[in-house]
Parts: sequence; structure tokens; C-alpha cells
Amino acid sequence: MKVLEVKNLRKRYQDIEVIKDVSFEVNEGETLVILGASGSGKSTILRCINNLEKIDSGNIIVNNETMVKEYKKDKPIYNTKEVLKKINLSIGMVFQDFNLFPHLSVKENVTHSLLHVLKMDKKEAEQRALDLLQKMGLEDKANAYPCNLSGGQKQRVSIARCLAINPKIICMDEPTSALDPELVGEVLKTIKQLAEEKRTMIIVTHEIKFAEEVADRVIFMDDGVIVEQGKPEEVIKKPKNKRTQEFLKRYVEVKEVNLEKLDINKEEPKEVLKFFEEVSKIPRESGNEEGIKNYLVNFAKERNFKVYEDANYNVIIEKGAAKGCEEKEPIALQAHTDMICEKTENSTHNFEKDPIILYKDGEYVTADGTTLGADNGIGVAQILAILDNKEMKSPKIEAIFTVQEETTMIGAKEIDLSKLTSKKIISLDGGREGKILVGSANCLEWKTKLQKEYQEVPKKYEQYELVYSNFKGGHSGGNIGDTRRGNPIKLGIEILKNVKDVYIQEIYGGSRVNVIPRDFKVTFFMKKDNLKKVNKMLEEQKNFYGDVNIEILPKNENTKALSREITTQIIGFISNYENGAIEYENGNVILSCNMAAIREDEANIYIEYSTRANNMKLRNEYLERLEKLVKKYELKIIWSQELKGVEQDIYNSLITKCNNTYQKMYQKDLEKMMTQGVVEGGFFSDKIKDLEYVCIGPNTEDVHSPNERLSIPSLQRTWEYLKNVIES
Amino acid sequence: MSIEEIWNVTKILFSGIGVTLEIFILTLVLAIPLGIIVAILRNSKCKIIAFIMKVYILIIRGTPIMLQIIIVYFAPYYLFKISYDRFLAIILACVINYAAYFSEIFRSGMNSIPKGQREAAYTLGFNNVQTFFLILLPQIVKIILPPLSNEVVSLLKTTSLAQIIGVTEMFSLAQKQANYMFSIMPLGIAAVYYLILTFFVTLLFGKVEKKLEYYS
Repeated sequence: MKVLEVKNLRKRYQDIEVIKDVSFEVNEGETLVILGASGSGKSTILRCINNLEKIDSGNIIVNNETMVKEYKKDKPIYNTKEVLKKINLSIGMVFQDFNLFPHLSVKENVTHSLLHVLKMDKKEAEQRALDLLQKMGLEDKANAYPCNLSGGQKQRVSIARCLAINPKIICMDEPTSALDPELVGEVLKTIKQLAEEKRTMIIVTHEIKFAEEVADRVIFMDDGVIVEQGKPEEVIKKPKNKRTQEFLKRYVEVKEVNLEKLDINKEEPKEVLKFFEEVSKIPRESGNEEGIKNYLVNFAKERNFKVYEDANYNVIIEKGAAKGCEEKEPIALQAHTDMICEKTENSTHNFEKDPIILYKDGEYVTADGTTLGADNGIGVAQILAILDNKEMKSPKIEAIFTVQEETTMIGAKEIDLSKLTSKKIISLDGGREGKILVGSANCLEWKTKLQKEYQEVPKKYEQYELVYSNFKGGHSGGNIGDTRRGNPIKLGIEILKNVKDVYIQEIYGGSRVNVIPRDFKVTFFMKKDNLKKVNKMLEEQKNFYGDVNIEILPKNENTKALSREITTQIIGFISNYENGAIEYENGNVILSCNMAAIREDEANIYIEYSTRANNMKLRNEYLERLEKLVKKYELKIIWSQELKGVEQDIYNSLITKCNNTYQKMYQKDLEKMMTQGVVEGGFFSDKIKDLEYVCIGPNTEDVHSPNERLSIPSLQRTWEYLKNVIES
Repeated sequence: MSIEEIWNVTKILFSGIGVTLEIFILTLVLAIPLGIIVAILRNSKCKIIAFIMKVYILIIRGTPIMLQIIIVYFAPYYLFKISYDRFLAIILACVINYAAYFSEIFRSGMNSIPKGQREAAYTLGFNNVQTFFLILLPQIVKIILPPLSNEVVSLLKTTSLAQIIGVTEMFSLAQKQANYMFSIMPLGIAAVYYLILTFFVTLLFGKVEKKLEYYS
């Protein structure tokens, strides 16, 4: 039944028409949400309905009573006082800034209109007030004054006050906009409760998620007109109008395609997705792997598999060979159980306890606003599916599940593999179909220092500050091959080297040892006539690196600087340091160096750098060169570490077997990849002599971000492939 | 100067306090409601009424009260040869004057109440009169108490001007005594009386203010 009708409503303030011919209806029991940008006229509509603003044309009809009786010379003549009061009492209003009466207690705020407008008996009025306050969870605040309440409590009192006169329609004008973010929830909960009671409501809000949950219908307004209306799942999830899309984009990430829950019964490979769904239900942020460990141990015990676990929650499960396959060489499968936990700003997901629900987005599996955990949950799921499979002609399988791969790698570092009978490990932590990871880098990291000495700078030298910022940076393993990223420390030192006659005063740049530096700052002294040359060089650098910030500023603060000797050492070392990708093989970087950071304290200058090499020969040759350099410039090494890489014959039996199987299925070779990154396999090869190790997996996109997606067709293919490799 | 003399003068002046208080209280009782009405009219949407009120306030605040008292009493005589009671004249003059000052205080109080209070009252069904007396006025009172107490204390001292149209009140008695005795002592005693009265007025306002401190 129609309880409110807004007909061709127009409203102008001076020369600006804020509502342009708006019409809509509200039915009994319906919750209507009005969305729109600020200034789109949505609040004004509510104010007109409540007769707080006079309309210019059109009409508002509440329960068959019209607000405007007639128009004379285009001027609205409002209805009689009695009718207006009747309309007024059947509409309640909740304001953005509460508008509680400060001189009255909470209870009096609620009873005031009952006593003086409805002339209700005092006892009855107080009872009603207390009932309403109890409903709002505020019974203990009945005698408090508004000034002693939190914003959320104030808004709930104002809702109680509005409900007291029992209006047919409740209007809410941005009821949570004036609240601190942590108080919004309690008010929304209250409103949701009203919606569930089938109260008729018109709500103007910016809380899109909330709108989606409570609204029966959504109206989207822009520039005084309704541009779109309909069910929330249509307007919010699949907006047709461009303005609506733009507006919603600011509040939620509108997915182009409608998300539906993944139905594993409809998708292939069922046997893998089933386990992926179960694994995804278990919170498993790096460092929080106990739950998934328990799940794995239970899984093994239920099937009478041998299972080992350690204090880090690493798990190894053994499955005996299938009948007739006892003679085949055992094989190990490996995945890590932890995942990176990232979410969008709007997501309310709690990674400590909430399960990750799988959604289907086209051909992809995705999560709603969080990382999916396909890295490496889909690896875990595939291994479980292999273990669970009773028909496969598989050899003895040893399944290795490690922890904290995304953070400390402590799982791979400390796992005990002495009981492992297999010398071949297939890791399922790879990320591209048709490719196979066959090597990872040996990574060396150093911190060195130089003791400071100062001297007075001779006259005629001027002080300058050279600043580099806004460089792309990136990971020294993954991004080092990209020459356009540039290394600001090297670039800055290059300038000083060209000027030659300089004194460094202060020097600072970079962040961590495994990160390509993004900024660099050096304060130094040089003779003024060098400036032209320097500017020309800076111009060239700017042109090459594009969207970066490079500038030189004159300074005139003091005349003390590092001694000529120290300055020469710094410039000499850094400018002769080989940086970036140095050696390539088949398109892969196989030797790279990163001048990572330079900083100082009162006594010393510290320089940090790292090297990644995919084979020992290159590594050793390079180390010789580096050692000479460090010696020549008298740097003292104060810390260093070496993370082992995977280095193997790329024609060994495991890789050949993988490639042959692929050949048979697709009539082409697998692409062999070497990474400059550190993988868990490096730690395994340290523990097992002559280990053969590869890494494969289905296609995943935007890993480590809330957009993480897993391709279902790719999973289907790589799953078949994995089974074939094991059976071959 | 003997104690006896002082006591005598104290008694004489005390007999005038009645008139002083009469002027004070009558003016308050009449000027405050009138001030509220003026304030409401001054805020009126009708431009003519608002303008008239503006002019009234300008004239009253723009001329000395002594002049106003004289005009209120003597103008009817010079214009229409009508003379009337002096006491009535002083009350009239004080009410006309203080209503203007009070109205500005009320207006500032009214304007400082957020519009939302009126709107909330309207949506809850309160009519204009109810809104004013039940919602707005209690809040206005709290806001205007400090400036109001200022004006009230000033009124107390303004009563001394009654003597210019021949109304005998406490201060006129003091002046007479001072002339008669050729001494400043009676004026000193008058000062003490004023101080005592002011003290009580201030005390009263302080009490009310304290009472309204329960909310902010």
C-alpha cells in the first residue's frame, strides 16, 4: 500500500534549482535508500517531505492528505494547519546532527512530545519512553543528559524520540555522517533492526554496504534528478548509469561482473576445489598456521597416513605407493600453508577468524575484498586431492607443508627433511601455466661501514643539496631487470664523480637491503662554476627516468664536511659498484646487484648492498671482484648473510620428466625459468644432496593484493598435468 | 560625626529604599516580557515591523536615559497640556529604555540556538508557542544570564535618576541630607546601600546560573 507519494517535486534556492521534477512513491513496510553525491538534492527531498522546506511546485501526499492544497498563480497554497499537523505527526525525522534537546534528560527528550503534543498521561509516556530506550540499549542512560552521551548514543536516543510518536514513515538524513567511524556500527545495527520490523523508512546515507543490506529499493540522485532506481543489487552492483558508476566507485570497488558464490559442484576440477574451499575456511595468515596444521594432521589420521609435525607447524604426510607402483621412485610434493592477508579499505573481513568465501568472477575464483590465498592454498588443495585420490597409479608420495613462506621462511629453513626418501620435490608454489621454475638465486646481503672524519671546507666552495625522489624502487629479486627503474644512489654519486672536486657533507638514501632504493639525498660542496655542468647532467637523467623528482638546491648553512679522503672513498666505492642486472641467460637475469641503502649516524657511514646469482661460478667470480673493491676503499663489513638458491642441471630427470609429460599433452616444451628471488627450494637443496626441485602451478593474477584471482580453466589443465607427471 | 548621626541618616535613607526597589522591580517585571516581544518582532519576517523595532532600539540606545525620562514626563505637558503621575512616568521611561536593551540580549540568545532545535520540535508536532516556551526559552535563559545580570545591576543604579522628575527615592534623600549636613557621609551610606542591593542581585543570578549548569 502506498503511504507516501512525491509528485513532480521542484525546489529552488534563489537561482539554483536543487530538485528538478522528482517523483517517487513509498509503500508501507518498505525501506527506501536515497544515494547521491553531496549537493545532489537528496537531503532537501527529506526536508520537503517533513515540511521543513517549502516546495516550489509539485506535491507531497501522505496517507491521501496533500501537503499543498492548490496553486494560485504558480504559488503553492499549503493545506490547513490541522492537515499539516496530521501529515507532520505521521512522519518522523532523524537528523544528521541529532538535534536532541540539551536541557532535557534522555527520558524527557523522548516523553516531551508525548506529554505536550499527544497529551499522553505522564505514567504511560514514561513507560513508552523506557520501552523504547530499552530497545535502543540505552535504558541505563534514561536520566543522563545528551551532553554526556557519545555520538552513537545520541543518535539512538534521537531514533527513540522519533519512534515515540509512532510515525508511519521514518525519514533519516545521513544518520551516521556526524559519527566517529567506530560508532557508526551501533547506529546502523539499530536501523537494520527497524528495517527488519518492516517499518516504512526513507534513508539518505553514504554507507553503501549498509544500503545494500537494508534497502528494498534504492534511488540514486544526481544534480536534482533521479538518475537510477531499483533493487539494491541492481543499482549498487550493476549500475547502468555512468554517474552512478562514478559515484559508487568512490565508495566501493564496483566489480564489472556480478559476483556469485562459487558452487564447487558445478566446476571442475571438483576434487581440488573441494579442498580449496575447506582450506580457505581456515584463517591462515603467516605466523598463524596452527589451525591449518590441525586440519592437515586430521586429514592424514582419518586416512591412516603417516604424519609428522614440528614446533613451527610444518607438516609432512606420507602416502604409500598404489598397487603395482611400489617399484616406482617416490616423489615429494610441496606447498606452503600460510598466505598474505590484504583487504580493501571497505572490507570488514577479520583475517584472524573469518573464513574466506570463494566467489566466481567469470572464469576466475576470487574473494570479496580480500586476498584469495590461492598463493598457496591452491597448492595445498592439489596435494590433498592427490593424497585423497584412490585410483591414481602413483608412487609413494611425501607431502611437505611449510609455514611462513611469505615472511620469515622459517618453515623451509628449519624443517627436518632427514626422513624424506624422495630426492625429487615438485613445489606447487609456481604461478604460470606452461612455465617451470628450475632455478633460484643465491642471495648475498651485506652491511658495511666507513668511519667518519670531518674537515673545514676551503673558501670558494658553495654548499648544495641534491635530491632524488619518487623513483619506482621495487624488489631487488623481481624487478632488478627493469633498467628504467633506476637507482638514485648510483645516479647521485655519478654526478659527484663527474664534478670531481667535491666534499660530501651529509648523505642518505634507500630503505631495506632487498629493496631497490627510491630516494637519495646528498648535501655537498663544490665550486660554483660547476653548476651549469651539473644541471645539464641532471636534465639528462630526468629525461631518461621520466616521472621522477630530481633537483639541486643551493644551501648556505655551514662549512664543515666529510674529509676529502672519506668523500673519495664513498664516491669511489659506489660508482665502481656494479649495479642492476649484470648477466643474462635465455632472457632470465642470472646475476644482479643492488646498491640498496646509504645512511649515517654520528660516527659512521653505512652502506648496504646485495647480490643475487643463479649459479655458483658467476657468484664466485663476482665475489672476487667485490672483495677487491671493498678492500680498495677500506670498507668494513659488519653484517652479511647468504640465502641458498636452487642450482641444478636443467636436464636432470625431474625436469626432463616434467617436460616430456608436457610435450605429450601439448606438443611443446615447457619454458624453463630462473628467478632472482629466493624460494623455499633453496633451503631444501641445502638439506638434501643432489635434490631435484621444480616449481609449477596454475595461473593466478594480482597475487598478494585483494584482486587476487585464480583461473579455473588453467587450474583444470595444470591439475590434469600434475596427475600425469606423478603417474608417469 | 557621631554614631547617632550616622544611624539617623541610615534610617532616613532606608525610608527611600522602598521607592528604589519599587522602580527596580516594576521595571524588571514589565521590561523583560516587553523585551522578549520586541526581540521576536525584531526577528519578524515582516520587514516593516522589523524596521520599526530597529528604529526604536536605535533611538533608545542612541540617547541618554536622562533625556528619555524628561521627555516621557514633560512631553505630554508641552504638547497636550496633560500632566500625569511622576512615579508612573519614571516606570514608563525605564521600561521603554530597558525593554530595548533586554530585547537585544534576548535576540542574541535566540539567534544562538541552532536551527535544528526548532526543526526537531516541528517534526515532533510542537506548535510555535510550545516550541518557544518548552524548547527554546529554557535554553535561551542559560545563554543570556551573564549579559542579563549586567543589565539588571545597571538598572538598579539607574533608579537614582528618578529624582530628575522629582520622584523621591533613596539617592535623592542622600543628596538632600548631604547638602543639609554639609557632609559627604550620607552619600557614603547610599553607596553602601547600593552595594548591598547589587550584592544580592549578583548572588541571585549566580544561584540561577549554577542551577542551569546541569547541562552544557
